[in-house]
Amino acid sequence: MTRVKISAGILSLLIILSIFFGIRINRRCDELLQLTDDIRISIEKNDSSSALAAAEKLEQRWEAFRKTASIMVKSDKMTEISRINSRIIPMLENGSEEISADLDELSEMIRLLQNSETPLLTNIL
Amino acid sequence: MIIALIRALILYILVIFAVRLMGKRQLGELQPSELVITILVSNIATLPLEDVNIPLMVGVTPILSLVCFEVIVSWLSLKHPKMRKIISGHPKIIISNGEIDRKVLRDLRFSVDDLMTALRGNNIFSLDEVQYAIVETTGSVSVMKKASCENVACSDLNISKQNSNPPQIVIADGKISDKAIAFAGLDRQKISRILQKEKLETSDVLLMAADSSGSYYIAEKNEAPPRISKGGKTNDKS
Repeated sequence: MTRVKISAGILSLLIILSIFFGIRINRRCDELLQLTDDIRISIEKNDSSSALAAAEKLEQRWEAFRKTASIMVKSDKMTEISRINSRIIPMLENGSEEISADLDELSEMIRLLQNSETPLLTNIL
Repeated sequence: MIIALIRALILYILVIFAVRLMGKRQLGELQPSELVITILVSNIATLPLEDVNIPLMVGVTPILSLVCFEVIVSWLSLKHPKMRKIISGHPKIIISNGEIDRKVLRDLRFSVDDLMTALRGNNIFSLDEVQYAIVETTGSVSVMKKASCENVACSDLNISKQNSNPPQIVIADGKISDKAIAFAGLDRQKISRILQKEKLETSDVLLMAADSSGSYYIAEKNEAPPRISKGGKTNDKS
């Protein structure tokens, strides 16, 4: 009976942890997507200082998120996002025209990460 | 490198814990579901070991959940016989009244050689001796011999024998085990008396096994022959 109780306890803990991490990753990804949108809107308005501020915020948020997310998410998914994210600030500072493409790619990668951690039927199967 | 070492240590502890949580069973006695879980656990544990890019939690979560599912399902099947039948199947009589059930043999995909191997494992070399043979859910074969072929027991000869607990290792490598002494229905004074009688100190003893009837077996740390007493009758064997 002790084994059954321990198993039930561990299983409950795993379920709680999975739900907690799932919700956390989903929320953080939403935040990051919002920040990439903010950068895009600021660029469209030619407001480079706002775009840079949003990019710095995005970098900080991503770094904070990456540390906790690496406990649950495979590192190859995170490395790709880190790579694109690290290019955003230098591109904004240089006024590169490729920034839109990179922002689109970053949004897509974050969305993929968000979807891969959501218990959708397609992911399960 | 150090990361791989730490991860290996964590997974080692986790797998030991998982196996302990599943309970004590020998490999040959595993139920089908337990065998599947054992294989799966060993396979999953290797993934985060081989690839440090895979988070440890990705390996830990399925291992723990599979073992927990197994424990809970086995508990449920203990409570519900129908569930037990679905998960573990049920024993099948392969030889009934000395006759082989060919249909069951075919259903189990048991060849005659397999049957004979299983019977030989039970010290039976002729089918004449078998009254019943049952294939258990673990795959092992239990055999009931014909009455004429059964070994003679004390009760058949009207010999009365007292039941007793098995002997306990009361001293191992010079250290007394109070738990074993209590289990054997003895106390430290009795053990001391035996050692005094044998002119031995506790530290001289490599192994001492004793039971409630007063029988004991003492092996000394030196190469001396063991000292054996059967309920008071002492005889040294060399």
